[in-house]
Amino acid sequence: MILMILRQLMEKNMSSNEVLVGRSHEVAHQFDTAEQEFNTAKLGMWVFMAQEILFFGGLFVAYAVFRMMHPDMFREAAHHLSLKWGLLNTLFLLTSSFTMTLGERAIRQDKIKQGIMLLMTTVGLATAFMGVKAIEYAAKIHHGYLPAKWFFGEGMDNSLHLFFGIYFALTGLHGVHVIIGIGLILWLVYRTIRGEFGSHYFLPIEMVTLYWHLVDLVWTFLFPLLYLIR
Amino acid sequence: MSKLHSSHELPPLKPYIITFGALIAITLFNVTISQFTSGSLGLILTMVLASVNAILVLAVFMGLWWDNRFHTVAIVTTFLFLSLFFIFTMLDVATRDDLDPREGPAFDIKSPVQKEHSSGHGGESH
Repeated sequence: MILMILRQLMEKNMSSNEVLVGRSHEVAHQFDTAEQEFNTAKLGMWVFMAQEILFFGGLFVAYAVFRMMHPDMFREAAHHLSLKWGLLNTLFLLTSSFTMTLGERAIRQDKIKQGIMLLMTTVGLATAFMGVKAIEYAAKIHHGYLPAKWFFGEGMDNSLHLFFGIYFALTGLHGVHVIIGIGLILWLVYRTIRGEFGSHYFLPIEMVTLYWHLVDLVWTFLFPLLYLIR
Repeated sequence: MSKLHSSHELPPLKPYIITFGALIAITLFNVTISQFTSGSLGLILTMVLASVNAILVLAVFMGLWWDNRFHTVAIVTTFLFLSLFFIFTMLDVATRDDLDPREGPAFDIKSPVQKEHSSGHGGESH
């Protein structure tokens, strides 16, 4: 159904083999050139991502402290997580990073249709990621592997609730980033269909692509730290 | 390191494909070796492989390789400050009872919060 709506929108906005001319983008008044505007936005994005890394960093430090205090508990806790689901999600996210990059390149080369398809593939993979996360969360909640006083799961170690506190905080915060990412990419698809992006202007696409890679980057550390403890 | 002359120039496609393959291969390798290693060695190996993955994502997917060097400086500085945060926190927590043994149990957060919801005062009100 989504694909049908997309097709209708695309047909409304562009004829089949036509290279899109696009709406012209006006450089904001505080910038001299489009190049200057682009570079400023990109610097801002990198500073934002630096902040994001520090933001997640706090939780990673909490992880390190608790793991140092309870090494055996962490080893036991990892057995309560499904490596299969974790690995599948890692593959989903890595592939979505790749399709996002390809989508950005396609739009920058005015291959608009291909670009939109690749962006939608990214959204699909991100949704699949959240689906797997939902299955995992449901199992944890069902078996009582919850943070702090809500914990009622079975386990040898009496501080397992600490691990699940960190697990839910880290994966939950990451999940929120994935959901925001899905929203941003859909917004890009909408604006691309409207003909706003192409080789002449692609700043928002580049910024969201960077953001999406950051989400992937955080998961790169989350996956081994939560699922691969032995 | 090569640098693009303008922000509108497109980097070559080949590094992206190679990086994607490498990311998948390293992840699978990481999962495999995690089955055979344990303890500190396992943790170190896992973290080294995860860091290689992270560097690949930053350098190629996020384009730092072709980008303005200042962005690399910003992100490397971020990781330096993050490591300071790590090092000082860990030093503190690990050595608290070195000077005064009473500090140890005070910060040893072993007390289980679990199964307390049936007892305790206040019940559901807070």
